[in-house]
Parts: sequence; structure tokens; C-alpha cells
Amino acid sequence: MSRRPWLRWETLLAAAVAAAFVANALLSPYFLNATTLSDASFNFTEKALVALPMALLIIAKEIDISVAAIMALASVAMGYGAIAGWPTPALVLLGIGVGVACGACNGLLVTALRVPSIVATIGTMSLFRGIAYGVLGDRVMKHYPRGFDYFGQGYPIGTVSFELLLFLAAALITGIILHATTAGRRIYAIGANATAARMSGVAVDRYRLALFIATGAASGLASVLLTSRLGSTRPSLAVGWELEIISMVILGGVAVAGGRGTILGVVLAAVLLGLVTFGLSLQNIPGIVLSIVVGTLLIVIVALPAVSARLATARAARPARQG
Amino acid sequence: MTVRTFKPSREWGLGLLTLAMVLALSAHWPQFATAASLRSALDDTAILILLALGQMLVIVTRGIDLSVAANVALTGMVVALINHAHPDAPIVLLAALAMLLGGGLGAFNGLLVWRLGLPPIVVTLGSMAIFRGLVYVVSGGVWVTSDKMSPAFQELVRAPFLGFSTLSWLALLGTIAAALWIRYSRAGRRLYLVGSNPAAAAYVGVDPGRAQCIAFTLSGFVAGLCGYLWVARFAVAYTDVAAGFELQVIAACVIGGVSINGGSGSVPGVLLGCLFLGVVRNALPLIGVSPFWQMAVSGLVITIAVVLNERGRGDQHRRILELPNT
Amino acid sequence: MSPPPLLRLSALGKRFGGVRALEEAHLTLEAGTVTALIGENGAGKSTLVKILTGVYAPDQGEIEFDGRRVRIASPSAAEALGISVIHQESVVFEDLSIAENVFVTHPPRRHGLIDWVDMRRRAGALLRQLESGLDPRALLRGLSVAERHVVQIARALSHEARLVIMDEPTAALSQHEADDLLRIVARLRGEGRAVLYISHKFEEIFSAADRYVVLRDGSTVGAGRITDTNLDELVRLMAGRAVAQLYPERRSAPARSAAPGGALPGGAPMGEEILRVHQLCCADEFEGVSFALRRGEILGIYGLVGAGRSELMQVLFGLRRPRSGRIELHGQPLELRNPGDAIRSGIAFVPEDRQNQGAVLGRSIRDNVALPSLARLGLGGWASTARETALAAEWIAQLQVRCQGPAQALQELSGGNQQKVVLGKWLATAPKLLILDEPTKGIDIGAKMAVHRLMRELATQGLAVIMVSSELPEVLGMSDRILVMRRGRVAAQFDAGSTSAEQVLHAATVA
Repeated sequence: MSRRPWLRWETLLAAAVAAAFVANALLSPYFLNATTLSDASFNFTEKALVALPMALLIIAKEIDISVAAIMALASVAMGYGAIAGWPTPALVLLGIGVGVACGACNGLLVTALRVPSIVATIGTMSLFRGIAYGVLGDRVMKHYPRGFDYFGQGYPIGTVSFELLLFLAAALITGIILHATTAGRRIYAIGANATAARMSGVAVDRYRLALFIATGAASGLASVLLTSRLGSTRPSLAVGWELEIISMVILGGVAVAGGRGTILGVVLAAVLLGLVTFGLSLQNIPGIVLSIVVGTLLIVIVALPAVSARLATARAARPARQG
Repeated sequence: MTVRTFKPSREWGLGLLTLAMVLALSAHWPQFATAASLRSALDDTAILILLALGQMLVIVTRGIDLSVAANVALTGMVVALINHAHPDAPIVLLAALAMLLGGGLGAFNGLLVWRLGLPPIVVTLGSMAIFRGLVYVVSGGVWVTSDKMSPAFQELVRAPFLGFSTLSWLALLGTIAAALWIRYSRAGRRLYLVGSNPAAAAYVGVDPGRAQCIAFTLSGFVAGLCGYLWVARFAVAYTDVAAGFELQVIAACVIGGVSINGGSGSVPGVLLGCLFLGVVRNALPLIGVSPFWQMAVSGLVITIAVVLNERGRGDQHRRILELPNT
Repeated sequence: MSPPPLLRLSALGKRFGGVRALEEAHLTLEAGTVTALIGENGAGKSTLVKILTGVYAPDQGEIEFDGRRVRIASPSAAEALGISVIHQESVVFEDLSIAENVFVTHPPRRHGLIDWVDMRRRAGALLRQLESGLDPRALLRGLSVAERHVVQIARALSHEARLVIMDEPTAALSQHEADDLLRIVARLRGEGRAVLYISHKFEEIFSAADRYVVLRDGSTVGAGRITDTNLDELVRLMAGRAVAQLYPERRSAPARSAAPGGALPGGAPMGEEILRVHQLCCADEFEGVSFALRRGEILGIYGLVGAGRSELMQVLFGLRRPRSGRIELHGQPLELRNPGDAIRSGIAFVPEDRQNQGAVLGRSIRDNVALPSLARLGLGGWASTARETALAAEWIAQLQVRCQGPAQALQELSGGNQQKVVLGKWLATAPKLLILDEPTKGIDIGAKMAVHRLMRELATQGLAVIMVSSELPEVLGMSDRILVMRRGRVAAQFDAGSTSAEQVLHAATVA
């Protein structure tokens, strides 16, 4: 496992990002505009925020498909808090807190009750979103306090949105954790061989629990951003987002088998997906068709190394070696 | 030391639990136990049973198919559109076409997994999005409602035969066929070989990728058939048909004892898993649980069932030297 | 004219990229004989076996079976010829029954459908033939390693195998199980089959084999009747050099001044007691275990499979909770809740299963070496790649690991070099007590001797070492003291210099 696969994946992504950027600029006269570009970022910032801890989780060979459901539940909780007249900071804490609680629930199912994470989060996904539906029914909640909309609709620096800044900061922090701390090293080891990691003194279950909680917290925070941007809550919030988030992570080069991946890749994948979906929406292509593009992109990018490896072995096998 | 080929204790436990639930419910709400109501419950569960059997084949080979629901939606839409354009086309032909198309979609998944060695979760995540998007493209976003479908199209599903609808019969036949195939055919046994130990399977001449491809294709066939069944039964075809249903299917398999690690799973188990979920789903409105809470309750039930499942499986370690709590 | 030999391999050659795995390898097997195939790892044994079983095709040379030239194109072709192999890592299907495993490639059929009744009946007959009481309906999952071997042999018999290749069959077996297996080998020979027996255990080779073949660096360097040779000659042929003795000399005097570079923290004198275990009990696994260990001492723990040795080591390393009893390190009681506690107390553990527990094969050498020491190498929570690389490089040099550098993936190294890296990672934690579980299992004689030399050096420098081993010569040769476990209890403790193999064996087996 030399350096070169690392280089190839991120380079591929960067090239794709550049290509998408150029294509968008060529296809639409409105694209190369600071405001437009800033608006484009909303296409991915909330999802990408959750993709960051999700990447760590997948590197540790776990998965959480309940993240979108957590977002919905957190949003419902914040809605009720808003109705009860809570101030903005309390609402934010409430949202993140619900995320933490849900993440802890997932984490305990996996570490204490030893349920495989894909199976556990299939159950909690229905449970969390079900609670959101049960509590809210088919109503919509809109009574958020005035300051609350800043998170999703604020622009601290020129046309750069708060969401984008928050995401970049989070990406930086996550990248540092994964690549420059001992915790990051241990996460890679857990994903590569949890038993050997444990026998080398790594507190495997504690890390797993922490990662699930972090993913839950990020979902809660993303829910704050999304609810703030939409200005309303309904139980169908972020439906289908879990798969887009996971696609972002896998597109970013994180192997499903665990033990490999970089944050840079995930960030590039997020930007790529954002550019592509935004560009297509500028061309007035409906959202559901975008999913075809996303799905194809996912398969193509994952297939490329496999295809090129096959071509390489075919080329090497052809001349029969004598003696 | 005699250890049986399948753990009857698990399946018996699940069966008894389901039976107990049915008895308890009918004691309190006698209308639950009427023939009509039970038949309707079986109809409700029939599609889940068929899809779960297909999914079982995939999970047994260490794969997973997240695209089944999208497959159902796409094939259903296609035959609904054909039926709308050619109301005189024989329905059996349409059903066969749906199966073929579904099988093709399944083969798409299978070939990517086999030929390129891509992880099934990634492939089916992508194909799920693609298939779903294609439903929109194919239909132009327009719903095909019952007035656009020929009467024959909708009735075939409901047609009673010896007291049960065609739908229920198909589920029954599917169950029997699956059980016989995985027990008595070499191709069926190969799926278990591959799931239990892919390296050893390759060594004895069974190609794991090929077995997975076969499983995906079969799952696709079944999904295709269910595509027709779904739109015919609910008399509507639109983009979001069966949205999220793939997770119910997987849950039914897991509750039914199919190991997510591959290599083990039985048809009776899957059948019971589906019936269990079906009873729960039908019981909720009866008990008076508001429709909005049904998802939560069903999610809770799935989570609990899954936890109990894993506790029961606890002593089975995959590796001899596996340490406690790793 | 005498019948042709069952198998003749002539001048076999096989190359992988730039590496010559086999070159001028010869082998002749007669029906009704047991031939031992001897050689270090990397000598070409496994390549030879893979050619015989159809996994690889030779680049050069000929294979003659029953006097006819054959090409073995696949495992199925090998099976069709009548060549079967019993592997070290079981090629079995845990979720399936014994009967299905035995007939996995050729299930009995009736009208095109699998005939389970016939399958069970025939599997039962084969098991009885092997004097095994196993139920053909039982799942493989619950079976021990010895029982799995029996299933594989039953599979070989179901193919009417004429040549049965056994690759380290007694590696994970107790003495009793090994004896059973050797009885089966004798029976196979009596039935006119040929057995190719690959093993590192010389006592088995001398007792069970008729002939021997030695491979070194891909070529056959010696062959003949086992009665015409001796241990020294075999080892000389294997290693290509004269070997004075297999094991480094034991220290006689307990106290010594600290060796350069090996001083213990605090400069404590050698020979002081460092570990005391008192009446340690672990539910169902062992009870009443008491022993002490001194600095600079190597304690060998011997016992049959199931005696509780591995479980005892797991308790010492915090992987398992004892029910009662005391562990004292330096006179301080130890409360070990997890491996992290053990490591912080200065205990290191090299497990037997390197692939699944000892090493993280998918990561680099550097990542592996640094893993238990991450906190020490970094600053606060920060990791230092530079220091990790330096640490890895230091141990690569010290242990003479053959590799391309710290960044190389561990799985690309040979078994012996992987074991060195695992040792390096633990030695980098500067432990006071080093526990080794079967440290030389599955590695070649060169690496084995290097590991033994290292162990003795470490002990001389003041490290306390516990070595669990199933190889009696190793236990007798390497230990200062021997602790024998039997059925979860300490059966005896011996001073290695004044005991004999018979005494140790007796303590381990007699009920």
C-alpha cells in the first residue's frame, strides 16, 4: 500500500472538481458570480458537515444511516423549544444535544449490545424519524426567534456564508484530528483490525462510542443550520440525506472496508457533488434527475481504480515471460 | 455433541412470539382474527416476503442490495406505462417483462460487484439513486393512476383462488421455491459456500463474485415481479413508490436470523421475520396507534428484535480465538 | 519391471516476478509411504504444494502421476487425479454441516437434486472409518482444530485420494490429538495411499515418516530414507550451514551487572522478583494458579491444548477478568481492566495469532510499531510522524527486519519478518514483563533462531519473559524454569536445567 493510491484518488477528485467548475461556467452565464457561488455552497455544506465525522466512523469500519433521522428529530425538538419561547443559544444547544443523545443511543447499541452498526442504525433510523412524525404529525413549525436565522442565512464575510465558514472550520478540525493526532492513528488501526488494535491497548469501544456521538452531534448541528436556513421544521426534513452523506464519504475515497481515507478527499467530494448538483439545477434539471447523476458519479469514481487495475494486470500478463 | 444444521430454537422462538401476538390481538380485537382480516394481512406482507427472500440470497453471499425498492418502483412504472399505452396486452406478459427488466437491473448490480470487485453497499447505493431517478425520467414526473390502468391489470393481483389472492399464492410459491432451491440445488448451496468462506469457496472452484452476481440477478427478478404486484395492488405508479422499503426488507431478514456476515439464513426464518413485522404493522392501527406514531413503534420493534437477535447469536464466534468483547 | 512411482516431480521451476520460488525441485513419492517435506519457510514448500494442488502452474519441469505426464490445471483437476491437501488454515465452511463439508465439491445427487440422506450416511461412514464420533449433521463452527482436520481427511477419503498432502497438521493440536492424527496417517499409508507430510516438528518426522525430502532456496538438496539420516544432518541441509546448537545457552548465574544499553530503570539488580501470581482463578478456565517470576528469567509454560495457558495469559494482559486471586507487579497489586492498563504497568503480550490479533496487516510497519507507544511518541494528543518513523527504523535495524522501509505495508513481509515487527512494537514500549504465546509458530528456522537469541538477550538485560509453547524442545531449551499446566491447574513447576522431557510430558498428561 504505497503512497500512490492516495495521490490518485484525491487528484482524480480535484480534476473532477475543476472539470465541473469549468463546465458550469461555460454552461451558465450566471455561474461565475460571487453571490451565485456562495449560494451554490448551500447545496452541500449541511450534508458535508455530517460527512466529516461519518468519514471517521466509516474509516473505523462502522456506519450510521440514521443521521438524517437525527436531523429531523433535532429539528422537531428545536421547534418545540422555539414555541416554548427559548432563546436562540438554548435552541442551538437543544439541537446539538438531541444529536448527541441519538448518537449515544446508536453507539451503545453497537458497543454495549454488540449489534452490527448497519443493522442497529436501520432500526434507529425508523425510530428517530418515527418519533419526529409521531410528535409533529403533518404540521409544520415556523415560530423561530429572530436571531435564529443567522446560522443558515447569515454572511459573516462578504458573500461567504456562515455555513460555509463553519464547514471549513469543522473540516480543518476533523482533518487535524484524523491526520495529526494519536486519536486519528488509533481510528485507522481500529478500522484495519479492531482486535489487534485492542490488543495494542487501544480502547476500541470507547472510540466507537465517541465517533457515534460525534456523528450525532454533527447531525444536530447540521439540523440547526438547515432549520435556520429553511426557517421551519417538518418531520420529513432531510429525507434521503443519509445516503447522500454516505455517498459523499465514499466518493471522497474512504473505503467501506475501513482503515483508509482522507478528509481532503471528503471535502473535495462534497465540493464536487455540490458543484454538479448546483450546476444541473441552474440548467433547470429537476432534483430527482440529479440523483441519477450522483449515483452514476459514485459508481464511476469507485470503479475507476478497479478498471485501471484490471487494465494494468492485463497489460502485464500479456508478454509471456521466458526463463 | 449434536448441533443441528439450523438452530430450530431461534425460528421456533420467533414463530411462537408471532403466534402469541396474533392470539393476544385477536383475544382483544376479535376482528383481527377473522379470515378476511388475516387474508388482508397476508396480502400486505406478501410483497415483503418475496423481496425478503431475494434479499436473503444477496445477504447470504455477503452482499447487500439497497436498490430493491427503487427496482420495484422502476419496473412497476414501466409496466404501468406499457399497460396504459397498450391496455390489451396480456397481463402475464407484462409481469414477465417486469421480471426480466428487474433481473436486468439486478444483473447490473451483480456485474459491477463481480467483474469490478466493487463493494455491494456502494454499488447498490449508486444504483438505487439511478433507478429512482429513472422512474422520473421514464414517467416525466406524471403519476399513473388507476383510471389509466386497465381493469385486468389491477384485478389479476386480487383474483381469488381457493380463498387466497394471487398475491398471497405468489408469496407462498416463492417461499416454497426458494426453500427447495437453496436446499436441493448445487447453485443454491454455492451461495452458502461463498458467504461462509469466500476464499475456501474459490479454492474448491466456486467463484464468489459469480455467486454474488447470480444472487443479485435473482433478487432483481423478484423485485421486478414485485414491481408489477405493487403498482397493481395499490393501483398507482409514481416516483416514490416503495420509498424506504429496502430497509424494511433488510430488517425482516435480520429479524429472521439471516446473518449480516453471510453464510447463514433460512427460508422459514425469513418468512417468520416478515410475518412478525406484518403482524406488528397490522396490529398498530388496530390498537389505535395513530398513523403518525406507527413508524416510531415499528422502528422500536425492529431495534429490539435486532438486539435480541444478536444476543441470541452471541456464542457463535466466527473465529476460534476471538476474544470476549472485541 | 516395478510399477512407476505414484508421483514424480522433475526439475520443477516457478518464478514470481523476479523471485525464484522453485528451481530444480525434485520429488518422488511411492504409494504406501509417508514422505516428510522439510525446509525453512521461503524454501519453496508451499509453492510446491500449490503446484501439486493446481493453484499454480510450473514454469519448468514435469509432473508425472502414475507414470504419465500430467498438467494439473486447477484444484478440481488435482482432486480428479486423487490429490488432496489438509491445510493449516482450515479450508472449511463453518456455517455448514460436516457432511456438506466432506462432500462440498461432489455432493451425492438423486434426479439432479442433492441427496442429503445419502450424504449424511456416507459422511458418517467415513468418520467412523477414522474412528471419530462426530455427528455428520453438526456444524463446523463448534469443532476444535483437531476435529476440523478429521473432517478434511474425511473429505480427502471421499475423493479416493491417492496422495494426501498434510501441511503442518499438528501445529495447533494437543499431544493426544497429534497422536490420533499420526495414527490416521499410518492407516492412510496402510491403505496404499501416499502421504506428503510437511512439518517443523522433528520428533514427529522421525517417528512417522518413511522418507524425507529437504528443500532449500527452491531446490531439492537432499532426499532419502529417514532411517539413514539424523537431526543434525537434516538441519544442516535445511539451513545450509553447520549449526552447533539450536538454542542459545542458558544463563547459569542469576545476578549480573547490567549489560550496556540494557540497564533497567532504576538499575535494579537482576534476579529480583518482579511478578507474583497468587491463587488466580478464572471461571471455567483455570483455578488456584500461583507462581512467581524474577527479572532476567524465562518462564516456559507448557501444557496441552485446553490446559488454560492462553486464558492465563489473557488475564495477565487484561483481556479477561479473573474471578479471584491476586497479581502483584513489583509488590504492588495489579488491577487490570483492559490491555491499556497492562501496557501502562509495563506488560507486553505477543499473541499466537499474528494475523488476526498481533499485527495490523493493512497498515505500514511504522504504524504497527508505533501503535502501543503513540501517547509516548506524541505531545499531548498530537502525533509525531517523524518520531514514529524513527522508532520504526530503529527497531527494523535492531531486529534486522527485511523490508523496504518503515512505510511498507506489513502484509508484504514474510511471516518471520512480520513477527519481528510485532516484537519490535512491544519492545518499543520498554516492558518489564514480556509474554510470548507460541512465538516461533509458523516461521522459518532462521527467524526462529533469531527470535530465541533475542529472547535470551532480553532476559540477560533484565526483562522477565513468559513463553507459552507447545514445542517440548523449545520449552526445555529456552526456559530457565518450566510451569506445566494441566486441565486448568498448575501441575508442576520445574527448574529447566534439572528436569527431563519425560518428566514435563508426564506432568502435562497424566490425569
